[in-house]
Amino acid sequence: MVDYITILIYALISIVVFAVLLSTVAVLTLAERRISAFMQDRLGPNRVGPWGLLQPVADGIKFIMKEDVIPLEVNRFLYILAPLMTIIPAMLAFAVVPFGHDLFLRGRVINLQVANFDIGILYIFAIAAMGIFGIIIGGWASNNKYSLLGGLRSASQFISYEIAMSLAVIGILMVYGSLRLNDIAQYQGSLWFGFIPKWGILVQPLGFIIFIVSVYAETNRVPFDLPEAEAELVGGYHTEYSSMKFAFFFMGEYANMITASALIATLYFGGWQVPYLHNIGFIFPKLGIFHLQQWLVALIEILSFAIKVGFFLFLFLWIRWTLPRFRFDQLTDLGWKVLIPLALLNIVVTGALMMLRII
Amino acid sequence: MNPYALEAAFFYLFSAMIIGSALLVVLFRNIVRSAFALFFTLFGVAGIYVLLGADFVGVTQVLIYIGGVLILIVFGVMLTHRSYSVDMFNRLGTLVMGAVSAIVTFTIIYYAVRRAPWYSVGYKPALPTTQPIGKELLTTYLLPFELVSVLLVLAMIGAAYLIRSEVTTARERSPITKTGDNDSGLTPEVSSTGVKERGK
Repeated sequence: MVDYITILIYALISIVVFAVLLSTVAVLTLAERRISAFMQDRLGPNRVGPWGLLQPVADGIKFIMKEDVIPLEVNRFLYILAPLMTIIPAMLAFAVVPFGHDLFLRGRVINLQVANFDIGILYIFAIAAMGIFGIIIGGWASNNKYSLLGGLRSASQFISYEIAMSLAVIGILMVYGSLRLNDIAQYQGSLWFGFIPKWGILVQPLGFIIFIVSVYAETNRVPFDLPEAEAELVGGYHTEYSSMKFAFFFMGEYANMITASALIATLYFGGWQVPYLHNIGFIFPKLGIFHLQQWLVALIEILSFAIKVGFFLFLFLWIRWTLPRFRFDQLTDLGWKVLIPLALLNIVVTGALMMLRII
Repeated sequence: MNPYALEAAFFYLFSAMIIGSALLVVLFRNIVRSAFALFFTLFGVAGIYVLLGADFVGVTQVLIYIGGVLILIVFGVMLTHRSYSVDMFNRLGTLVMGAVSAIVTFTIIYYAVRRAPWYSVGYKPALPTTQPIGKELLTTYLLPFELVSVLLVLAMIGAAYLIRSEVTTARERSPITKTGDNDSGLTPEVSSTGVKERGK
């Protein structure tokens, strides 16, 4: 018997998540320009709407109205497909990110996430790999030397950071014993020595540093924005793209940033957890219990998740306008000679600490 | 709705995707297009795995074959000098040999499928597979698992040896570079081959 109401609820959740994701992308395009302006003592776009809040709408209309140029010498089929292959995986990857406690609704258990896969985090890595493929193909199909170099750099960048990123996450998987992001978030609510929340950053500090460096490389952000290094490669892989196709690459990058921030928050900062908040309310050790309604708890958790993700998104912008760019051989050196050995060390140390029952 | 019908529909969809794109891989004359068609072949295989309830295997398929092997293939193809204008068409002799081996392989698989004792498990919701796979790998199948790791390490050492030996000969040929103060490891200063000396 198919439970149509559950299907309906999850359909609703996925629509809401999709809408929130897209509007966060829109707000991010504005935030990037405003925050960079503040960091450089400028004002940034502040004319369209209050504080420039309608600027993303104006940008969107502009992108749609612009002429959609397809250069003559490109490989038409792949040229058109590449932006789609970038944005679709970027949108899909967020599906497994949980943003709240399970809700109990008249005998049904509702996960506050689109899909609670058993393979959780592996799914995100696999989908991210497909997104990189879109960039490589876009760079090749453009038939432009700058685009080709951008695509090539994207491929070389991917093989530099991917292993380190996966190895860094293995530490987390060892400690929490699950690939499911919801389980990982759940376990981070348990207490260490009776009062410290067992967040990933506390049990895996080295893994966190490796992961965050790899994630910056994965999202093509400064200091690792080599595939589109505008000072060297004009526009990198999207040099030949215009109009909405260019916007798709752009939106894909921002959607990847959101997923990456959500992943950092979920793996290392407790996800939707608020310290001492359980599904019946706040439970303070030795102090007592404050009962709260299920809906209020869910609301607080979603808010906590949003604040954490918001902070890491800000960190992305902050770093972008602070650090210079790496050279691509430096990134490969960093990935293979520093991050991978450190990640292996992290696994060994984590295993030893788990044997000693410290973690 | 009949769940079998939906499953069958997805099965045929993925099968068509695999077979169609695999044909394109062989028939495209441009090697980058072939690599791109391979993307859909590998993705379709992952889809079949997921359809069979093997979600872990399916995602690993995408992660390793699309994220690893295919990106390396495309990377290698793009790096190869002017490879994207090379005509990849095979001559008639290889075509005949290919047809013969294809027919032989198909016959073998056909008879294997016909003779295998198939049984149906009925319609069941997909169960988590990751934990059982991990447990089996580290208990029942520990020896094969470790042997595969040894094999991979050997392959890595071999690859590293092939690269390093070339670099060493270049360094030996070059009278300018000093071997003493080279701290960068992988890419030593090989001025004779045109690679500029790193700034110190």
